[in-house]
Amino acid sequence: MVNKMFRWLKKNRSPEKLKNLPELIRNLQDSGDFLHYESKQQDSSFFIYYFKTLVHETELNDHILPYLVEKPLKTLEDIPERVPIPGVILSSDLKEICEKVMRGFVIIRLNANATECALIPSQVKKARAVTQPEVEFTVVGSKEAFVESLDTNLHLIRKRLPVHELKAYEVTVGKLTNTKVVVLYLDGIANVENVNTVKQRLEDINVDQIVDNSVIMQLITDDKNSPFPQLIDTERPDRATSVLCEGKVVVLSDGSPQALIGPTTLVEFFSAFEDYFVNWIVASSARLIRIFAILFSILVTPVYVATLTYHYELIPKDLLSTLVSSRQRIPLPPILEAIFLELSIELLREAGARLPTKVGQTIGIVGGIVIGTASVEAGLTSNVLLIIVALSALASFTTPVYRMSNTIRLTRFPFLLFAHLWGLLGVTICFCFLIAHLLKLKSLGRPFLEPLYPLRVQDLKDAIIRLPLKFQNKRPIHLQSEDTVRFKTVTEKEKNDFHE
Amino acid sequence: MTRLFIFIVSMLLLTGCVQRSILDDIQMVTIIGYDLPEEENEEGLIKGVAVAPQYQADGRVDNSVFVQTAALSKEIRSQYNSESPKPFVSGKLEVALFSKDIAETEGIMELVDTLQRDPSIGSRVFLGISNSDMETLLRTNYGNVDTGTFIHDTLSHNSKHGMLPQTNLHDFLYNYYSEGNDPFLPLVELDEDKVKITGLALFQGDRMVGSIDAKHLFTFKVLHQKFSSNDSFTVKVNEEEHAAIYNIASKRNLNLKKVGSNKIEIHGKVLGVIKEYSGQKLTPAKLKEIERAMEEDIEKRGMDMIEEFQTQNIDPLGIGNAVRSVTRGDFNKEDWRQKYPDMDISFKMNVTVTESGVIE
Repeated sequence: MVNKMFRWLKKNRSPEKLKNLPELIRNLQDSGDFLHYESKQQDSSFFIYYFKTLVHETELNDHILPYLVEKPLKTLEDIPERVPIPGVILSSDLKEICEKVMRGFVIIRLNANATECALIPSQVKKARAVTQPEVEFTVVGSKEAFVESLDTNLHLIRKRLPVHELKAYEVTVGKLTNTKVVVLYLDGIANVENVNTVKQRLEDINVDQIVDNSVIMQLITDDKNSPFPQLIDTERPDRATSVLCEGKVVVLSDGSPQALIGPTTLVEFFSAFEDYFVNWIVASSARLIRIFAILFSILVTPVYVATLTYHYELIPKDLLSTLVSSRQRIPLPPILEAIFLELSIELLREAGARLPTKVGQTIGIVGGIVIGTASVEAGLTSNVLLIIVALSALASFTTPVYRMSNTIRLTRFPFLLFAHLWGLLGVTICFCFLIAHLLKLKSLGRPFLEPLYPLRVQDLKDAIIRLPLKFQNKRPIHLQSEDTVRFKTVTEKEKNDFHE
Repeated sequence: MTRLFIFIVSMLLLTGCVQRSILDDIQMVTIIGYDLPEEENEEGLIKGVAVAPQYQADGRVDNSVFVQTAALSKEIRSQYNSESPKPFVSGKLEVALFSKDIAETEGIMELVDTLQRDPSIGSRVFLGISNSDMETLLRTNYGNVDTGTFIHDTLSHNSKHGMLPQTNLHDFLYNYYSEGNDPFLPLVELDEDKVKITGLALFQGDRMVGSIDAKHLFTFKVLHQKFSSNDSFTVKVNEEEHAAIYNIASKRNLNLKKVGSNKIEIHGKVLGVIKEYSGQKLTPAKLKEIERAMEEDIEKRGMDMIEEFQTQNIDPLGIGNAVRSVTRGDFNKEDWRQKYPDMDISFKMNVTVTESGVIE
């Protein structure tokens, strides 16, 4: 299907149409930034071609050309010998030449009709400086985040993991963008099957354009019709390194400041990387709070709708007067009231996300305070529901992974509908559907709900709670790691320096 | 695909069968009272008084009172609906009251039965017998609260921390159906703008046959169950001196070893703290005196009560039930009824004062 869709692209752009090098060069000359000139010496001359926007011109003039003109050039073979830069190649393969010149190589020919040429690398490397992580900011810990340059990102990981086992398998994806995608894994630790799955899926990608790693994520994910993300993306090199050590596979792509992590599990989406920086008790309680927040966020509005529509018996008698009097003037049934408020919160969030930061803040305040109060005063919503909806929106933002919090907010709507149709029974039915869906999901072929189902007691050490580091001495079972032991636990010697 | 489609469509169609009761579109009855009608021509009918609170947006609570007369209690309910703007629901019922007249003449089981059959009514609904006219009692405004909650709270805190023994729908039914037990219910009365607990109504089967005055409730509770309360008990030591005992913890023990020879011993044990003393100085000897005075006082009242129960042949203390539990083989209810009035029941008290204040 996808193949057919993009077949027209192939026809137009393939260099096979061009018969030889002079023709290719004529073709390239259509662009204004393609430079070509003849360098004439006493008895020899050569031709230089390059894109000035891709080539580091100072480097070219200071460190490459002087070597070429110091003595007359006899043959192309002289060039690799003279230029002290690695990566100089001779080629007559049109496809390769075309690819290299588009990546910032300089073409050198000895005469205007030659079909063979030398290619000298002299790319200009422009990248944003490494900055603080913004989405996954932590108070303690490293303040480095991935940037758009693949080389910088690889550097950030390699310097944290200086072992030869760290392999970076490169694939080029995208017919037009030719994006470099790198699969990172620790040889001998990561499961070969997992690595091969990722490689295979990357190689099978058949699209023209890779805008971002998120596109790759959508293309290689297991169930493309699930609202749940099945791969984690992170902007923290330390998190990427840490999951590599666990035996997971990391995918980086050029032009994207995000790394993909797989295989992953549902509970991993609720663990922040900061959990590993703090004491295990603090970390575990933070995780419990987060899990409570998720359940609260999904269930509280549906339960409100269900109880008010069907189960008035369940409301404690002291709460009754608060609820009834707050709903006294409201013409809408609970479901419409809830949908109205939920939609306005979603509107606010969407408007805030699309606007520049400073305006976005104003929108938040205007929306939250003004619209909320006004709608209560106008008698459109009850103030109890306003509190509930605001709290559940707040709770949904506790999810450490941004993608997941979007999903959580979306999940609430089917629950609302079911709550309206069948009350608490409907909420239960919807919950069953949700569990069934989650059970069906896989991440790179590994069960998504592990260690809860299938139950792997050993992996519970780092799931809902995080046990102390000395218990983290085995790699997660679901990764099927080649080397399951991370380190040997040595019983601690007596630490007391003083004796009574 | 077809299966999924049919599934979704049938589920959506089925939603039409579910009955909705949106919170602000229903009439929640919190208290219901049954009385005999006054008019001559309505003989044999029952008058039902239901109170449904109306919560106003400004926080006020108005109580709507609905009065209807019919032969069956469910019929009364359909008559309520004819004069109410919203449908009646019984899921939030807190208290059901019966007039003394009904309890004494017709028995209340027929009415309790409908409460017990309705699945939306919980078994923790309080039951009570009203001495006052039902309609006046329920039409009285008790302040900015709904009448049901008001009376429920009055009964609830008194049985939790006070001298009232625990009585709700569940307890009533247990006492009613179990062999060798007779139910009892609190007696309430209108006292200007409050509801006062005036004692305990005693039943034989579902018919009220007697009552205990509020001042004897403590003795009854000591005889009936283990409890601890924050109420006080006043002991008259002699003509001038009185002592008030607080924070009472009490236990009862039945000695059933001599049931064969028709002898039952009830042992009561009370722990308390003296908070108030009208005499001069509390010496250990005085404490002993107070303890003894209290023991004698309770023993006397208790024995009077037990004798009263025996003459009326009712067993609200559940002695029969206790005997049944130690009887091997079949326990014959009728035999026990015969034997009970002639049983030699004795009552021994043991009072211990654990504290008598900081200043000695």
